[in-house]
Amino acid sequence: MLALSRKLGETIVIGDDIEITVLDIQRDQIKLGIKAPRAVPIHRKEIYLQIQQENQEAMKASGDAAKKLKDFMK
Amino acid sequence: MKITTKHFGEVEVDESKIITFEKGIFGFEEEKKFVMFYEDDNTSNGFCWMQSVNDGNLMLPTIDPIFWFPDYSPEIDDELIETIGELNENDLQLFSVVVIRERIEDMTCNLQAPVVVNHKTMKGMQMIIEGDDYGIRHNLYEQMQTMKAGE
Repeated sequence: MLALSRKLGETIVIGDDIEITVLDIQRDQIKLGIKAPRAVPIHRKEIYLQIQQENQEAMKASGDAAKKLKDFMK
Repeated sequence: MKITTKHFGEVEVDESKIITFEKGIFGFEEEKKFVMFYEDDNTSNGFCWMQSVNDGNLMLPTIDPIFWFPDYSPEIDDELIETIGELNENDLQLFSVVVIRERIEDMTCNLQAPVVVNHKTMKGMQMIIEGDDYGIRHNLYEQMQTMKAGE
């Protein structure tokens, strides 16, 4: 992983159209400003991981379990 | 073409029904083609299976979130949605992935990451809704109870 040191207010540029700026630093928390085309999805990684996990969990559904759900929906 | 499904064995599918997910879905980024299977003609409750064309084992239960959550109105970024085709509400359909747990009372659906399909382009994507309005594990059982009681 590339590691860059940046100070408050400084920016890094990724490719032609993505910029990440350090907006605020408070103890162990930093606030980042991200400028990117809106078609580029930006997410907190922990949310991303949870959703991946949730899809994997959904895949385990058996036919029997689904039948229970369908019966319940009637 | 014939595809292998997890719960219905081999099924003949019209190629026009195949939806392309250029980025796959979360957790299955390599799966680019899916088909939505309704089990019977009663599609009003929106229960359907999202089956991967290439991986027979990958079949996810989904529901129609608009039907079960009439107030559901996630804020979807138009530029992001336009990556699967021109934004026209009539062409778009939302699906919410369901996790059916051991106790049916515990089943949840993912309202924070709906699957969006554009029926005109037959392209789809799973997107994340920003903010705290919608959860990844929203209890579906309770909501269904409420909705059924209100009928």
